[in-house]
Amino acid sequence: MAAAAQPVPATTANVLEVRDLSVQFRTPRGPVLALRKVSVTVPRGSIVGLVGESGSGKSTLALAVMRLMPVNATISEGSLRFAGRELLSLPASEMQRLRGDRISMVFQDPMTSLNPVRTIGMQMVDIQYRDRRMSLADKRRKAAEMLRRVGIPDSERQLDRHPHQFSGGMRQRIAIAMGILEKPELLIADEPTTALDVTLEAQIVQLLRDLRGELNGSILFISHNLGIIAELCDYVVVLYAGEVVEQGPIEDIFHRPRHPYTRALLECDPARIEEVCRELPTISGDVPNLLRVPSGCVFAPRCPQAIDRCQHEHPADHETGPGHFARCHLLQSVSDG
Amino acid sequence: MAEVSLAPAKRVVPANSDDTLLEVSHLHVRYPLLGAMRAKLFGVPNRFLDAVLDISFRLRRGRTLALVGESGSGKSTLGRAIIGLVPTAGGSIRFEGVEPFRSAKGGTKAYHRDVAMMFQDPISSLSPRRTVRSLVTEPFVVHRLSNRDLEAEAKRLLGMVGLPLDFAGRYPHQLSGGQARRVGVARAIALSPKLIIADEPTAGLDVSVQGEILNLMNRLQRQLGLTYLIITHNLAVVRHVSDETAIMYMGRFVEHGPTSDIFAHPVHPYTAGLIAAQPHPDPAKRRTQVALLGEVPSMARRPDGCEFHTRCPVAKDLCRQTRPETQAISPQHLHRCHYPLLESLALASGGKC
Repeated sequence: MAAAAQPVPATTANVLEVRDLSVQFRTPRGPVLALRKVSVTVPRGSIVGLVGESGSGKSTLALAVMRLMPVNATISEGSLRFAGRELLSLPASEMQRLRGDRISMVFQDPMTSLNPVRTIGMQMVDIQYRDRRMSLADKRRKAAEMLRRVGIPDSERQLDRHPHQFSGGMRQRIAIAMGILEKPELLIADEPTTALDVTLEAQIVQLLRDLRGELNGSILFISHNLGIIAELCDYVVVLYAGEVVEQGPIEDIFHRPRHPYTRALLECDPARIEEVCRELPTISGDVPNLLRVPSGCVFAPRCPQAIDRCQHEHPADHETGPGHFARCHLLQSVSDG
Repeated sequence: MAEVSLAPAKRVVPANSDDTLLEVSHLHVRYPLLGAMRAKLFGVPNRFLDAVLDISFRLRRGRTLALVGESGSGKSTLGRAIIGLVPTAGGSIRFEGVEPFRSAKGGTKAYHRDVAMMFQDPISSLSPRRTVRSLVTEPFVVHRLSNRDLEAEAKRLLGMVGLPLDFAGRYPHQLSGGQARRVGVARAIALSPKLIIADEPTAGLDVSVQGEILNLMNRLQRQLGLTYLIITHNLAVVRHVSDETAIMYMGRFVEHGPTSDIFAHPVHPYTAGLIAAQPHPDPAKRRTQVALLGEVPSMARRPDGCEFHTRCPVAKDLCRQTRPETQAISPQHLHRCHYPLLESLALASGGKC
């Protein structure tokens, strides 16, 4: 049933379609089932937010799409289609051609994702290696133009500086400029604002909004910060312990959440609590150990509304609104009625 | 050395008692950027970087003060200066009326029993080669209180921070972020301090775990009569957990007052900008304008006049020339701004984060 669910109304132009993706990590203590039958769709020109706590598999999904997984990880089933092409069967050289050109990624920490010993300009010229007809001067001009677009003043001169000469916010802008330099169809941003102050975060969010309008690119935006997701995204996918527990249009997820986990997550956010209170709500219990995935619902051990059935039977996705799916037994009556 | 009483009950002081625990006046911290010779050689007029400038405040027993600001505002340096990890260049720190760093050596040692620190990154602030048992009892060893039953102390502390007793044998890499944070709390409360300086106690934690740590700190505050100085950039948290808030910008307090007043009607444009920059977890309330543009200027090149004028939406000529002095809106609510946002005060508009 889960496989049949169409997370987002089927349009012909989906940039990314992840279907029933399962990823395992081999560890000395046995396989860790980091992602289990995850389906995510990114329609062209939209921003899809992937939200979840640490260990929910957000970054694993991003790295699986980029085919940049560590050696102990294997994709045990599923498909990854990018612009209609199956990525899992592509040879490494073909995949290399897509990366940085048609799919690119912005990482959380710009200090470690930029090369410290090469100037910004050299790095931005390097990533244009595909175009052999363009002169070095033209490539530098293009790089400077992109830096200007992301709000870096005096961009010609900045090309000759090294990453350490920029502040954290500037470095993240540079990383974004590098990510969109080749006008990718899909930009994957993995917690791009987590290391930044709120003032810079707001500026980066505005920048991504502007860029989306200009480039008509699609963005898969990964964050654990609900505020940022609410500010930026069109669709939200909620991951919990390696499973998609709920997904749907942004308004539905924030105003009509149906899964108990999504509700609990929203209730925990101190920014949503209007009345000042000393005792903040929490989600009791721990994230399950993915060496031994619970046979029933993954959230059942922590769920305040869990019934008997939740302990041993894995719930199916229920459509509770157009394009809004939640994986919970309690919704059975809703979708039947 | 046996004079430290560990009986927590004696320390409980009502939160509304108005006796001052910590008094900081005109505190100044500066780091040399260049040696004196080099500065002369290269003709650099200012070879110092002032990380904390002219900070004065009083912290009453049982209260929580939150220090808020962007990275590089000097908030961590202020916390470190109070506990004596960085030398001060001027001003004074008084704890229970005594200057701990000016008194005899024993005074400093006693001060370090009374004031504990929770460091920013819990995993890297714990030695990877020591067990949780050895980490939480390290303060007793450092303060030569090792004649105590350390096993019993470890059990007591783990119980207080809500960790199962079998965690005593674990190593830091076997802990989750929230558990490591609890070990940090256990280390901080080990010697029954009066004041805890918590540097970003919830940075990097998921919202559900963040609530657990803050609730734990709140419970311990009530049980042990603790006073907190919380250093954070998370305004959403500050609003719920602190009694007073001080906003720092380039090493100065630009606004300081009761948390409820600051959030209801911020008077400094920087405070208003910070509050407005908080993302709303509600797609119906998306912001279309960026509240605060640009970044904090380098402290090595401090702007003239009001330091905030380079980013301030209401800056005027006066702001570019003259540095504003501390002024009071009410006896508790202080600010440094030539043109405070008084209309917000008059309208008492509900500023929320």
